[in-house]
Amino acid sequence: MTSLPQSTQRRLGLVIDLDVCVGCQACVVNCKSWNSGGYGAPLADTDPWGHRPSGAWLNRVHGYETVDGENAMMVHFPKSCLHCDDAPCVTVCPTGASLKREEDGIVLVDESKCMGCGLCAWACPYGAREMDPVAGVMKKCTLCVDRIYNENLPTEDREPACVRTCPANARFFGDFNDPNSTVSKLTARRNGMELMPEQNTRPVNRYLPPTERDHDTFPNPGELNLADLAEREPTGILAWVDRALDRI
Amino acid sequence: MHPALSIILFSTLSGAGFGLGAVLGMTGFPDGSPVLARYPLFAPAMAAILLASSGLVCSVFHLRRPARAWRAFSQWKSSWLSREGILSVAAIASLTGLAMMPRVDSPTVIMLGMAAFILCGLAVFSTAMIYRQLRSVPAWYSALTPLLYVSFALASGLLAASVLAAGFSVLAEIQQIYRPVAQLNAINGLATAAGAGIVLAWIVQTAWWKRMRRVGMGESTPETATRLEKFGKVRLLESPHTESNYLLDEMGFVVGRRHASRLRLLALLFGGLLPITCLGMVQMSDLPSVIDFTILLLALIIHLVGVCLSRWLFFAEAQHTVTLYY
Repeated sequence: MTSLPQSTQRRLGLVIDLDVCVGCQACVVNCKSWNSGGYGAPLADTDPWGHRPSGAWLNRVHGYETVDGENAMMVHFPKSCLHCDDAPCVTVCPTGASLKREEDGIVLVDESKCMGCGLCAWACPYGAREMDPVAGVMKKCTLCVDRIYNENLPTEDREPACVRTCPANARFFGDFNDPNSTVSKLTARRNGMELMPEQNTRPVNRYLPPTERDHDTFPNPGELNLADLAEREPTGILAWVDRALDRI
Repeated sequence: MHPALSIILFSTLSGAGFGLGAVLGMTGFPDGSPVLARYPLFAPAMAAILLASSGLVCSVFHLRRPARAWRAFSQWKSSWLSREGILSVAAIASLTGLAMMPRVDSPTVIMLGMAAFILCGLAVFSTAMIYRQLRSVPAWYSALTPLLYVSFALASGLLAASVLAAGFSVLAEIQQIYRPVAQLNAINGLATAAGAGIVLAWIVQTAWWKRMRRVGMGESTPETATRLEKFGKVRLLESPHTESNYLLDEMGFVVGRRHASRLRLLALLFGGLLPITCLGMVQMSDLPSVIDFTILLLALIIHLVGVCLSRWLFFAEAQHTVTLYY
């Protein structure tokens, strides 16, 4: 049934540290790679080597600029399913393909039931769901459900592909119901944020905000002329050479 | 939002069909008894069923895996789309029952008629609720959306009923059955009601458009989407993909928005002004019944084109919060 569970035993999800992410896209690529060979239909592309390549991806990194007066900042912003507690994508599903698991809170699509109507993608305010262009079923982040419980993998690999591959350690995986988990501690210490709280979706994933940059420690641009620095008045013997050359 | 032709045709045609079904269920009319003596409600009920089910067939073309459409009847507890499927089938079943009735005044007909009225109304209401429930599309997230769908279904249904009434009148003349006064009164009554329904629908549509312009993206902004509000104004610097993708094709639809004001006028002209003019012509003048029928049929077709245009705008102009990330 596509009704949401009252509560889930565990609340598995991600913490993404916006202070650390360098926008290298490794998580995007490893997500695509794993999900083209693991659970469900492979994540397909259309015209991948042509002029208009497109396709389904479950994790994408946006690059934002924030501007506040003279202070600007660049933020790399990975975005994937937030595994919301009040997931609107689940309740709209007419076929029973969309579900939120009672045991760990993962929002999944049962691809054998999906009729490809696309209503769940409309219901998600974040754009976390993408239709597979070949299989015609809805794809979304599974939190690598086929890795995290996979006893055929070495223990250190039993976490989502995006977390495993992040070279900067900007991504963390864990249970938000456990107050001693890394994700809970990071959220508490760094004031982890929910995206679009006004949408009342109660997302599980949290984003750690970038730390405040230093403001106004540089001289006022009006007082500093870079051209002056480049063409300094010569002194000493160079000044004499300079004058002598001028006279020739 | 992407204005898929299948969905536009679906909501326009099934709206008209269920509207006609509701009118039929409520009034037991158009009464074709002098013409089709054996099953007097067969023709009008079939017309409603055909309109509604052609809409439903269109909606199947929207699915990527139509063979699994039967599963859509399973999630009525939570999903409006599922409820809509079930209610549509139930409404069509009640109309089929009416079509099979040998008399128009039996208690069974009255019971079936009431059921048809309620089920047809609920089917249209649940269609609208599919959109109304989406907080991610602030333009749709309003009680005005079901009101819009129901009022347009009623207007189209009443107009279709007047066409049928005029059609029966023509048939009665051809079969040289005396054109009864009651029949003429029925045509006039339905035409008046259709005119009122069209006016009501356009009042709701105007209010809906006004609200859409006011509400914009609702409370959501690029700053709430990224939660970078304390760092200032947020703007996309690097796109996450070089070409378009499903999200932008489906939710970021912008083609033709610059024509929106012209399309709104055309929708009003086709969906409202021209049909009302036609209805006025039929009522004001004493034309032969064939001419009446032709004018009313034309009015219905023009009206449905206008409804399609307004539905196109319903999708094309509605903005989805995912575009805040772009």
